[in-house]
Amino acid sequence: MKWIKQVIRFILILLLQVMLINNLQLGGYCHPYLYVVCLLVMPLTLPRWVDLLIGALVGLTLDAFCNSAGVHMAACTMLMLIRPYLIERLVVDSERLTDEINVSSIGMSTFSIYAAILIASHHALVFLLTNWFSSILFTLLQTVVSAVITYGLVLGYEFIRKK
Amino acid sequence: MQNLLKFIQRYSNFLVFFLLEVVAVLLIVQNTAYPKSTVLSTCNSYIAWHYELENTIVSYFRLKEDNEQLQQENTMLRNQLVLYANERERLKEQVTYRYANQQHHFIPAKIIQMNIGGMKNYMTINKGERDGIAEGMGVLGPRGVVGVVSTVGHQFSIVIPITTTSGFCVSCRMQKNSKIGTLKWDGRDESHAILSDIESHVDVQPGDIILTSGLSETFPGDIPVGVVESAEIKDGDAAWTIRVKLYTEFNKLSYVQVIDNDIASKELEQLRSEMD
Repeated sequence: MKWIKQVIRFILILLLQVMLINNLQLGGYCHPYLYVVCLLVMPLTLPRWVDLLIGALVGLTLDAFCNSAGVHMAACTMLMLIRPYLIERLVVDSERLTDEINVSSIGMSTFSIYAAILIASHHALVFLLTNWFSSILFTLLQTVVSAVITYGLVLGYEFIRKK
Repeated sequence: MQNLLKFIQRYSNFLVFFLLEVVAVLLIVQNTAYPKSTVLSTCNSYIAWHYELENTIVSYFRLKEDNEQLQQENTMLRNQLVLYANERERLKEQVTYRYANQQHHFIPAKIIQMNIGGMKNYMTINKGERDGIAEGMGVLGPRGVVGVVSTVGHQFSIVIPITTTSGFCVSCRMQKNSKIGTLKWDGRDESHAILSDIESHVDVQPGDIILTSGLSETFPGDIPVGVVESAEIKDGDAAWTIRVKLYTEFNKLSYVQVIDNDIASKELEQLRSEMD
């Protein structure tokens, strides 16, 4: 049941991402990727290699919609790799986390740090790979602008979910 | 052996991670210029279906603008038709000539998804292999040249516009003196591109009109491309660097025509094989 909920959420957010958010192209700098929220909140109960495979699959789905084969796959796989280590560091008793990771389960301040680090690293890798390590300044600007907007959207999502 | 197994067990997560990243990088490198896979891209029917659905909703809000654009194009074509009809009558009196085969014909298509504004731009159109689209066909909009078909799915295809950094260029000529140059995007903004290879002694003025040259099989000749906005000769260069304002406004584009150059390319192929 828990996992069906995850899958349904992923489909809904994916539709929102590709049909609405991907169309907001403000001068080439703003490409927020709200879909990472699905990976951020996933429970940590699965074996890590399954987590990695899920990350790769989610990324590959996005890639197909964005014509960017491999870019989101690489970024999401990396995100799923560092996620458990980050939680171990940020949350004292991380063993008791058997359900979703969100504001209610790990607290507002911890969640905002957790989300910020993961979103920033995910976006940085996406834009580095999209521009293939050229035009660093443009990449940096894209990363900062997009990551900040995604961060806002993710916190907004959490806010709506809590209500 | 046992040590190896232990090692694999211990670092299995990292091995999976490493493997996945290698696959991802391979995919990126393989698709670096434009999407080559028809499964993992927007010309996949299942994926394009979403965009088509979105497009049917959004296109209602653009009907007025689309109509105006199409009407403008219609008027222009009608004017040309009168011109050509007169000329044909005149020529008919002078010479008896065999009608040449129609070299190109056009396949109408609708843009269902567009990604403009980044470094890698592309659009998805609702025509594919079953409608006769093939890789490398030119694409025209109501105002002029748009781009070229890069990837063809069964019902959908991906078009890369002139404004892309993947190395696609168009052979163009200047209307007033027929000098030939190459038009390429410099990655700055999607309304301008750079025309090069026109020698510095040629007279180039802002406002000069740029047309396709017809030298390549992709585009027939004399299709409007854009107008010269500014031109400069960089130090030590023997050619102009001309900034061209493109006629096509990509963010307002909805309907395009794909140029089927089947007959022309078949004839060329035949000629080449005869020469060998």
